[in-house]
Amino acid sequence: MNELAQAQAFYSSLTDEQKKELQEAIAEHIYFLDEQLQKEIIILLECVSSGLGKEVSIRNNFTM
Amino acid sequence: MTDFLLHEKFYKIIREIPKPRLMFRKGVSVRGFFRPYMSLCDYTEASVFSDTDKITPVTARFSSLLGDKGTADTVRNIRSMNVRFHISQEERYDMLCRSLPVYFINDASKLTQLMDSFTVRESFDGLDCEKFWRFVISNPESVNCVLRLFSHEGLTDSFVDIRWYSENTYIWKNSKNERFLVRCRWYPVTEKDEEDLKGAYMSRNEAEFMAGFDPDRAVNGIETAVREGHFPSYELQIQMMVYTDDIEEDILKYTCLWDETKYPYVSAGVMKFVSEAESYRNDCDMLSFIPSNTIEGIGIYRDELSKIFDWIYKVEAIERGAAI
Repeated sequence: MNELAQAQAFYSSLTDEQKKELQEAIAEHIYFLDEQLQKEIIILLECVSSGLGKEVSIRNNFTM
Repeated sequence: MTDFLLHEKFYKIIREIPKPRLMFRKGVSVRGFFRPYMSLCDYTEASVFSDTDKITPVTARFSSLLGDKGTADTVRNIRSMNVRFHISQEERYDMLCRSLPVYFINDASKLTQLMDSFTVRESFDGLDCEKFWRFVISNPESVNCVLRLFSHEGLTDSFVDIRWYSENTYIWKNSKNERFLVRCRWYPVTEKDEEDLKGAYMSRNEAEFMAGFDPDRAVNGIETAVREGHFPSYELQIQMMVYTDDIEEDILKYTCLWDETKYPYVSAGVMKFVSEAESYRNDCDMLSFIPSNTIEGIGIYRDELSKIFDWIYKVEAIERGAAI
């Protein structure tokens, strides 16, 4: 899927600060969702970048 | 109940309040001019891009996708800059642009589900957290747009210092009947360098603070810039390729960008805004843009999603009593 490749390229192009903002924004937005849904979101984010998925789960104290 | 003059006065007020738009309800309009840098007559018959002596009057409406008139400009959102080129008394060309270069979906049948995820109480009033993320999971092609929306690109306090990308892919046709696929980008012309432009995008804390401190910051910003003579300007940059029948599928997707190394942006002209809307009602509230408002030499690539968007904008304009 080309969308995923382009999302990966976009994420890689961000500065560390911008990556942190993105991770925090997503983590905050999904914080109150049920666990199964959060898990599926994190799996999708891990397809973009393992670092992104990992950081979002750490911020939400979420274990896969 | 016998004061008929009072009745009539209130009836007039009620009648004059237009129906709200379906989306992009909060916005501001400005006027200006467009002039091409060079003749693009090898690619399109459209005089607006092929006659370097021609200065075309334009009207643009800047707005935000989600929310209503009271929504803060710095809320995470997709912004819009729709430009109308007034070619002649009869001819107009509407170019609809967004602040993100990609969209969530390609398939028109998913539009109602997407709309549902953009609805908390009434249509397009905000992100419904659960519905939105369920939509993303079920439609992974949206990830390219979602990532940008949740990045710094989804938060800005300015309509002036950001880039705008055409919503549609255009088909340009020259006098030899050769056809080209075109995507457009408006790049802010400013003395600021690339680093400073990033300042138009904000952190979450800054956006939250600004939402309370100055909720109309982007709207006021562009009006003030025009009024004080700063004349916000944007350079039109185009990506182009020859349109053949065996074009790659990804090229026509709303969810994908065109590779800039293969299809580099070429500067084509400049647009400068010089005045505010004369009448808020006529030039802003009742101003509607239709993607299929095009001119000879320019057409939109018509797939199901572009057709349904075109239909929505048309019906909305008719229902609101706006000129199309």
